Amino acid sequence: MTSTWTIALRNLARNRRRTLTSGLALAVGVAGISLLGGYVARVELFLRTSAIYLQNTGHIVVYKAGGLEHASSRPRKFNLSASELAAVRSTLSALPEVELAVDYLSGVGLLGNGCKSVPFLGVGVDPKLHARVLQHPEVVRVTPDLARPVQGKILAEYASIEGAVALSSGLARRLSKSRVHDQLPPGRTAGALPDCKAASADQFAADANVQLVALTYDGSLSAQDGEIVSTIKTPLSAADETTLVTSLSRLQQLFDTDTATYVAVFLKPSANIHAARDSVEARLRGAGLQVSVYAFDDERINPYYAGNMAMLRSIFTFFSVLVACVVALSVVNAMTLNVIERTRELGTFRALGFTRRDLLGLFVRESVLLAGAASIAGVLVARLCASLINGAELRFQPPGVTDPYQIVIATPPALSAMTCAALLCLCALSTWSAVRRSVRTGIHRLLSHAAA
Amino acid sequence: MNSPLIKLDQVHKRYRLGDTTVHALRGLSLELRRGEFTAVVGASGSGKTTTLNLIGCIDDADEGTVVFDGTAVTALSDDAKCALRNQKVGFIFQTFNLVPVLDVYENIELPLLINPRIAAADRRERIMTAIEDVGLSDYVRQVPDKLSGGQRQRVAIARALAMDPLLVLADEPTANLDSTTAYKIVDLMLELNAKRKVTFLFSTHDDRLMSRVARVIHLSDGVIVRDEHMDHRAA
Repeated sequence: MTSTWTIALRNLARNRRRTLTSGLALAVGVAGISLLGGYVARVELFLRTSAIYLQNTGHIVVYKAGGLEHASSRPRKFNLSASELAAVRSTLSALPEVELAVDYLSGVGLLGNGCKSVPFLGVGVDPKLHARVLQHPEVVRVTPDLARPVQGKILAEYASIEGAVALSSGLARRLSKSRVHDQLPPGRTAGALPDCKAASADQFAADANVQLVALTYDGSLSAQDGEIVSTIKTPLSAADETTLVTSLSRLQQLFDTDTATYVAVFLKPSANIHAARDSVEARLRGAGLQVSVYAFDDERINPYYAGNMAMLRSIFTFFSVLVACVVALSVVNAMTLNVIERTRELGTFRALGFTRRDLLGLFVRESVLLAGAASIAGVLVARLCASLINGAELRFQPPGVTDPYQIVIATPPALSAMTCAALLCLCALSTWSAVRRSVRTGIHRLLSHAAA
Repeated sequence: MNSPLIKLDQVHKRYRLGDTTVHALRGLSLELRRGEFTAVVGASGSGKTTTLNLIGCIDDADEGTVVFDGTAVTALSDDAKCALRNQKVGFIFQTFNLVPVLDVYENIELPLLINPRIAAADRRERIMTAIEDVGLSDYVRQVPDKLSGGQRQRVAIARALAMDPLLVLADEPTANLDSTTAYKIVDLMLELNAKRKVTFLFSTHDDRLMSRVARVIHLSDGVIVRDEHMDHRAA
């Protein structure tokens, strides 16, 4: 039995070259959007994971009201006090979407090797909770290299070492500390201060001892010994020469405080981040806490993530609009030619009782079939290209990032489905726009056009 | 049988060609009875095609009324006219107007496709009956390009009859055929007119065909100049 779909299919086969040309244009468009979208999706996943788990912000960050802006300069007033921290933790523990809440203390000081001191930006965190964050399945899946220490092991492995610190690679290099605790002979103690003018890099590397110096919140000078147990990568190069991670208690001792700068909230995978942010903020304020709550993608929290994603989304949108225009013009052109060639046929169909809607439907079916075939071809081409690109392990170093980044193109089925659906709609709309005027032409004109 | 199937009353039709207005029909009045086999003849531009177009609801009159099977078609919506054409009118064109990508069976099936009330089995039966009626049983799966002119016109006749219409309109159906084939086509239409009791109205230039027609309407400059009821119609 013939159907209007059969007629549409036969009409597509009628002018094979035109159909092939239009179909190729559509398929290339789908492949292009799928590849770019897949790249953007992969970068987004990388930056998101990096921001949430490796830059210690969690999905949601809880600051004391005004803390984001003022805690670094006036920590005594804008840090979360011990009682506030307890209240925050208690409130968060009642929320089912919360997987983990971690207190972070940050502060600046000087780090010395006995001869030279450089500024550091310290992060204090409970090593066991920090280990849970670094070993989160999402981190293991997306950014395993960044979470793994360059030298040594993660901080939680050195609970018995007093003053254990992890330094970013750049910070360790500035202090010529090229070896960490595990790489030095057991039983070794910090040696006498070297003759700084004559000291060689080997002498500084002979031990893993560093000295942390900072001003307490009262303004007194405070110092602690530290033992470098690991060196780490920081996601962003701006932090590579300054980052120091140690236990929360150790950093609190240095600053002589029992406060924390913020609480990072890690959510379960199924949670809606922005809805959770609203919920957490409402709960905390309901508990009488004067706090500010931010989602990880707030540009005040993660300007690198927000800025890069805004740029990538702009590029993707621009490219998609460009492709959509090419697709629309291609379809309009093909369908206009089809209509011109089949004017008599249109008249015949109308004379036989086909309504304008029926005729529009016939042409729309043709473009939907064409778009469907082109979508499948485009998705397959995109997957093939993605496999080749991923297999080639191409690397590049974006500005502001510590290490070269492998170009990985994901081809998520949802993106492919959305691209195909958008193409089908666009083709249907373009066809409707190209054909609707012709089907409104008088039947006698359509028929006499053929006779001309 | 004698009630008028078609009634045109003081119908006017004008066309604009650039700055010129062509008065195609000038107050034409006409009645066609059920089962009649009628030819409309006249010189080029006399209004034959326009008359057929108005009766077949593929064009609208500027003035006057066109009544089809008791319905004033001028008041009908476009969709209603489509339904009327589909269910009550069959069309045969000078250039056959078959769809080249469809075979004989599928071309005949076209008007049936858009009528959801016809079941698949009924549809198949109607198509096969129409194919047998026009003598194309051996060409069911042939595409139009593989058929001769006469065979193509037979397909067009079968397509026009597939819906069991009240009226078949044929605009110069023999103009693109040699005289032998033209006679055969007219004879076929006569045979089907007798067998199916379908009203036929066709336009022609060919004086030789008039010897086979029961009624001949002569048009000139958009008006009927002579309406002849012949008694020499072939049996």
